[in-house]
Amino acid sequence: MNGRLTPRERFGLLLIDEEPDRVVTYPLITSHAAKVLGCTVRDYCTSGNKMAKAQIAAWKKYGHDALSIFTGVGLIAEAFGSELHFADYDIPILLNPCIRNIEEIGDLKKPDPYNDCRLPVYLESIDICFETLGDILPVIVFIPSPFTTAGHLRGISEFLMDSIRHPEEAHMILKICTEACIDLIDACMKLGAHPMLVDPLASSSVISPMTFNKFAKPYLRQLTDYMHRFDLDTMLHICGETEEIIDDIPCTGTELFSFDKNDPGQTKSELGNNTRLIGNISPEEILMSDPATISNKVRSLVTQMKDTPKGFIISTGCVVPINTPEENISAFIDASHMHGKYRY
Amino acid sequence: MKTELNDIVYKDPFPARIGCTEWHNLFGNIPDEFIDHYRYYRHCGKNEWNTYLYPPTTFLIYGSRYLRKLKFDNSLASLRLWGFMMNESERLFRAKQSGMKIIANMGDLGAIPPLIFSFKDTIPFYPDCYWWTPFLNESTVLFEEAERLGIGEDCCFVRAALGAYSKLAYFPEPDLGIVATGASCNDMNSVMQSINRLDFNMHWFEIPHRRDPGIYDSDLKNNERDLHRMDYQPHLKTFVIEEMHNLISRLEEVTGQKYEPDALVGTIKKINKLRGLVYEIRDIAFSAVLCPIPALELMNLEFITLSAYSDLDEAIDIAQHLKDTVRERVKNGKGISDNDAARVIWITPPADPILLNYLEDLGGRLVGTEFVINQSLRLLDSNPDPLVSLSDGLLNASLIGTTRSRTKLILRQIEKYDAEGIIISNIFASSHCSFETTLIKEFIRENYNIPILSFDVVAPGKKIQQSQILNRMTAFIETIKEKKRS
Amino acid sequence: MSKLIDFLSKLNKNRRNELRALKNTGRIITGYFCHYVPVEIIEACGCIPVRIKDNLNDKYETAGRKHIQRDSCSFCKAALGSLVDNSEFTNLVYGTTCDQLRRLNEHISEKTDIDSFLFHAPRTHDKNSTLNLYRDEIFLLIEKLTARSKTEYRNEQLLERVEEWNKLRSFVNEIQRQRIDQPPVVTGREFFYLLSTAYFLGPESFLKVSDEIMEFIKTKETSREPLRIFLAGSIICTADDHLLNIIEEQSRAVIVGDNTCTGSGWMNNPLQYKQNIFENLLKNQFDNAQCPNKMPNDSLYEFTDKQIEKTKPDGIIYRSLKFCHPWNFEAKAFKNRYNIPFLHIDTDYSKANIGQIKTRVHAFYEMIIARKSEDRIK
Repeated sequence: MNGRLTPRERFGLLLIDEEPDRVVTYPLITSHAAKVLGCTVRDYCTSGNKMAKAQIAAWKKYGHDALSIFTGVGLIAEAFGSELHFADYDIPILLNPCIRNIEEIGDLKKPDPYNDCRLPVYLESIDICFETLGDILPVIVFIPSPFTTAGHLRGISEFLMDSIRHPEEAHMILKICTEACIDLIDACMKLGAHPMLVDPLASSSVISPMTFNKFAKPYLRQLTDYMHRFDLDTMLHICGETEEIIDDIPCTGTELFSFDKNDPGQTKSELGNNTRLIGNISPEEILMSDPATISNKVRSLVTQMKDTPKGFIISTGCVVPINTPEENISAFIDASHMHGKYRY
Repeated sequence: MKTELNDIVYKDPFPARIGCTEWHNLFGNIPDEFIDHYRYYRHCGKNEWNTYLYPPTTFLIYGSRYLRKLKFDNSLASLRLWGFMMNESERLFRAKQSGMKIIANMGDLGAIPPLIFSFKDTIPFYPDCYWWTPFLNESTVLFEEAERLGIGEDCCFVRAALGAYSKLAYFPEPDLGIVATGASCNDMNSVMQSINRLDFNMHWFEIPHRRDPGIYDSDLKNNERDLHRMDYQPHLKTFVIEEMHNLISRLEEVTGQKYEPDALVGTIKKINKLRGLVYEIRDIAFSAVLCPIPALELMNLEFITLSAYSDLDEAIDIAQHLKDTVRERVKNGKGISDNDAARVIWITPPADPILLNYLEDLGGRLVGTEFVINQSLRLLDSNPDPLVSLSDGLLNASLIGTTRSRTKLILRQIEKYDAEGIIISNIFASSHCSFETTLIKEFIRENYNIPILSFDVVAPGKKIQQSQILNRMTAFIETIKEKKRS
Repeated sequence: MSKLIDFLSKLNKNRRNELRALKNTGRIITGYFCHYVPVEIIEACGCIPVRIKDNLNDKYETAGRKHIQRDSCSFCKAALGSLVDNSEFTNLVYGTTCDQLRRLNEHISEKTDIDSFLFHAPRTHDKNSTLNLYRDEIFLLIEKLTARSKTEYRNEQLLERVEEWNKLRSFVNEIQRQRIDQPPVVTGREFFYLLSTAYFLGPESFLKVSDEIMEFIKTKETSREPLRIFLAGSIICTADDHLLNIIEEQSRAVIVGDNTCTGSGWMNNPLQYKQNIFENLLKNQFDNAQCPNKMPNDSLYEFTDKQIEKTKPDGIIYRSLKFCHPWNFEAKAFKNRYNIPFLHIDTDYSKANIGQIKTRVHAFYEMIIARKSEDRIK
């Protein structure tokens, strides 16, 4: 570990508006951990034990500031009945959405996080991670949000069309997705994980601000309201563009916002007084570039963002690609430690 | 027990000890208005940060991993108590952010804070109490930090305070650290010596050794309210008052305020209110046929007399709420123990909270305690000069005199609450445990023929040794029950 | 074998017999634990002061464990074991230096018939309040002692005792100065014995043999330049003889300085006094007692700094007694403060680990020698 604080202590100080020893360093290492462990991504996604071992191995290698439990945004949709395709060395993708016709919405049954599909895999992984390293590391679990989940129940294009042609039905799907999200959030919280909502389909790269406001934001708000009841600082990650909806982000109720393609300086001036920011070294950069370039980019970003009034966590704009060279990630973390100091 | 808030009523379920998951589910029944209502630092208005009524899961997620293994009382009042206690770290940071002065107080365990609190917007707190943090977090990070600074496992768990002070992640940098030395344990002294080397602003306060005048005979028939009274020689009080004056000068320097005796009188009245409530709750609980409140909550209640100063008004309100709950349970013949539970007095607070759960899991119940903070439980005298009251309070401390005087406190409770057994939880290599335990046993046996169990509490993570303690406790409770049956 | 130590041992034996005889005639033999108790005051109250540190050994430590738990300081266990076993003292007086010693008092009261008086020895020394308390407590001490000895305390008597002890201190200080010669004329073991005997015999009896002692020192053969070792840490008493032997075995090394409370820390300079002898003596004890229990313990480090500067050791052996918190938990701070090879030994009085200690000490010396060679080459 670097610094005299553990990641958990560091993160804890940030959440109570205190300056930690250095910037929290949290690249979104999810499936890449499988490569570190030396197992297939398929195994990583389907075995809680493997996922936990991989996360722990990745942490031992890199020394970042939180563990990330995530296998893909189709997790809850799969538990409803959608079919995903698993590959040995790639993330799962949607194969067959479970709602072919809008009339089938009534057949949707809320999944049980303790028994259905791969939801128990998540829970097992959290349990092991929390038991093994939860004293020094926060365990962050990525929860696919209602809008993104709905897209994986209907098919993405179909659901976007539903939002125009069948708005009432779209809201019905979103409602049951929200309930399913809450059940999963609940189960994860009981095991000690800190939920982060992920909603890639809600980005401006995919939908308009109007659609976001009508169909994504209200349900995100329900989730954050639920978590606020437990005094949890909520985290929201939307990859892609979000500049067009930047003014709406506070209305989701989130305390921490993880952004991707936005200009960091602009995001800081728009949101930084009231929202803690997480971001945003590009995944393409970290995959393709060399350690020296990454190091410079991290230095520049940390220097620019570390004085964000409400706080800043340096991260990647989206999940670290599976085949990212290990020395690139190490360069990211080393640069952050060197240039992100607040004290000592 | 029903709690009413602006016509909204919440009814506690039937008294029980429940786990973390059950509390998480039960929390769903608590109206939002209650969560919104219970706050600390009300003078700061309704902020997003000053609520504290949350279930154990909340604190679990933020690192208190042990909570998933513990059992809790299922009343709303107990939840408030837990939330208030678990929230202390954030409360101290928020206090500093709000411009208040934060004063770390070490070693005296309750005697000095009223003086500190009498200065406006000045909050005392106890780094010593972070000795529970390694257990609650199931973590050795604070011990590792202490070891890095030279204090290893031959020191009592209070070395966690050194780790916490070094990291400044559990409380903000104090504006002043008051270190009470003299008649205090070696472990704490070494910790304070090491903290001093970290270059914080410190003030040394001397606590004198209390020699007993030697009067013991009338003890067992003392007036109820004097369960906590100790005897001492008069010249010690003069000395302590002089020390208080030295401290006042320092506090005036740090706070920029003048000491106001009237303010201290007012503070003493409030503290006595809290201590009175704590006394009453303990008395009701220990006397009841069915124990109305579990041992872990009773320990938290006692220690709220140390952590209350970060919001004394709210702490008083919580204690009142708890008293109402306990009274109601007793009135309705409800409790969390069986009526033949083994009646046990617990000596020295267990750093591992699960041990108190074990007591009840095994069919025991608490009917008395000597948790080394007698000075925080006793009502302060109402003397025109409040420093006289405070000094008298200090001189009633559990650990500054002889073991025989400390055992008096236990003997009184044995008689009053009909104790059937004694548990003494020690810390290996702690300077007072190694000397006191054998004497405590002897002094108790001079008067009562009841089983006594003593053991060393083990550090977090030592599962085998912890299970050995469970085995010994099992046998101990069985012995008591067998004795009752025969 | 040290002729000086042989000579001193005979003196000690005679003295012990003498004290036994004096006790039988009704003289008050007052045991004390540490030098917060001014010996001059004990004598001025008509009592004979004897520090409780000789005659302790591992057997007494084991005996003490019957009464106190094993996770307590070896010295306290051995002292209790010894006091339970024999009655060489009429009474005991001592200060609340460390918590274990403070609590030992009750065990002594419960397990022996020895009358003991425990007074509050202040930890903090930067204010008048604690000096005032110390004074009040010493007054109580005087009351107790004079009641026991049925004598009257007089300042004139105190003055006379101070003057005698000043002579003794001057003499011992002179020998202390010779410890730092190269090669040292007095080993550490000899010095500890000498100081112990000095206090045991008292000024009049000890100074009578001062010429003989000097003769032993002058005629001592010193063949080679030993390693110069500074001994730091917990109290050194007779139970530690095997440790001192290991450190100075075959004259390979000599303890040229120390900061222990039965070594250099026991030595005060002769008291400079004006007018109020009692106040001067009190203030001297209050200000100059070298004890890790002083809070904060900066003066202990200042004292050690001066000793190290004077003695120029090649290495520091830091010995903490098992479960002696005040010393054990200062080891790291000591190590970090002095840029000198450092060895920490945490041990009790048991002889079971002699082999292990020897190995560690010898390895430590090899390391120092190697380092010295490297420095010479550079």
